Amino acid sequence: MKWLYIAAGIALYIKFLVMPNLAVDVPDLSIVEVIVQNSGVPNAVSGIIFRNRLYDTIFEVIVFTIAIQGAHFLLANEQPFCTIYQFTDQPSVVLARLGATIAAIVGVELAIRGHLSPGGGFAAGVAGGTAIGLVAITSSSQWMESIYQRWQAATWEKISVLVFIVLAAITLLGIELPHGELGTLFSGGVVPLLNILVAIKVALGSWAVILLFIRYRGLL
Amino acid sequence: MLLGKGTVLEACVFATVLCGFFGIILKRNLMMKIISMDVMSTGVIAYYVLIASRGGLVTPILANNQNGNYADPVPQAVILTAIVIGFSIQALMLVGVMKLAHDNPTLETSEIEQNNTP
Repeated sequence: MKWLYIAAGIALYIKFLVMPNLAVDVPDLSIVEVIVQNSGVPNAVSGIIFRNRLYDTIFEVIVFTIAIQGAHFLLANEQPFCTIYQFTDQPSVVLARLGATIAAIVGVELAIRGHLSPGGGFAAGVAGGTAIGLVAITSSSQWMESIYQRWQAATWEKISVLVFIVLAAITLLGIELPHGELGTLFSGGVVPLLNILVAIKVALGSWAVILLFIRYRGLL
Repeated sequence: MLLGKGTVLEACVFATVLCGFFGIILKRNLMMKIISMDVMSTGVIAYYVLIASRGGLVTPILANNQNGNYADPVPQAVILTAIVIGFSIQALMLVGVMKLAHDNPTLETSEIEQNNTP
């Protein structure tokens, strides 16, 4: 039976390779220029995500939130890992701190200039999460936890999701901020704000996941 | 037509998708199934990027001194969603497997099914 499946798969593979692709011949219309004109940001991918496919992006953010809450829920009745070993030697600490600084600066850059250059909210959030993860492997988990509580990161995460949904709903209703001059930092109406909100959300969400996994599973 | 422009890349991408798919249906271990799912989604993402590069290779960011055609931004934006969703779904699946591993000494699907049949 197994070999039948594999033979069928290989036949399908050869079929896909031999048959020509049915490509739609789009008449010579520059998609990039149309989107840039409509959305007012030079990065066409950001323009599509936060304007043409905004409805999709709202639910993407919601799915991300629900997945993190599901991880919380499933881990709620676990026993916390008793002893967590951290990296304590000086070279690892210095290197991790240096990497965290660089990753955090890159994250801010990607978030605020995501509508002009490659980058955007999701990439910025992942860079921020990497910075937090690098700090987390070298410092004590109680300390990380106390910082997470003191800055009320969980609340800010939820606030950023709610503000994102409200801003997106306003944009979907057809109300747009003025576009401004194309290519400057303060341009593109609502797109840079959405980028920054998504960056905050993803960075704080990955912080929550990192803390959760370290608390219940340790580092290794 | 065979071995045309991009056909070799396309063959590699399809091979990745196929490897992931066979891993999902043929492997008996849940951990291996999750890893195969990741391999398959990597293949699908690569295929979208390949499709986007059909019209041109320049990053779809408007610039004055560009030479060559822009890549199609639409498939790139579509697949960005799938990357984030895949990441969060994977985190959730791994937590689920962790919970299953508490009750079962192994992660083989047949063993787990046998333990749970009344």
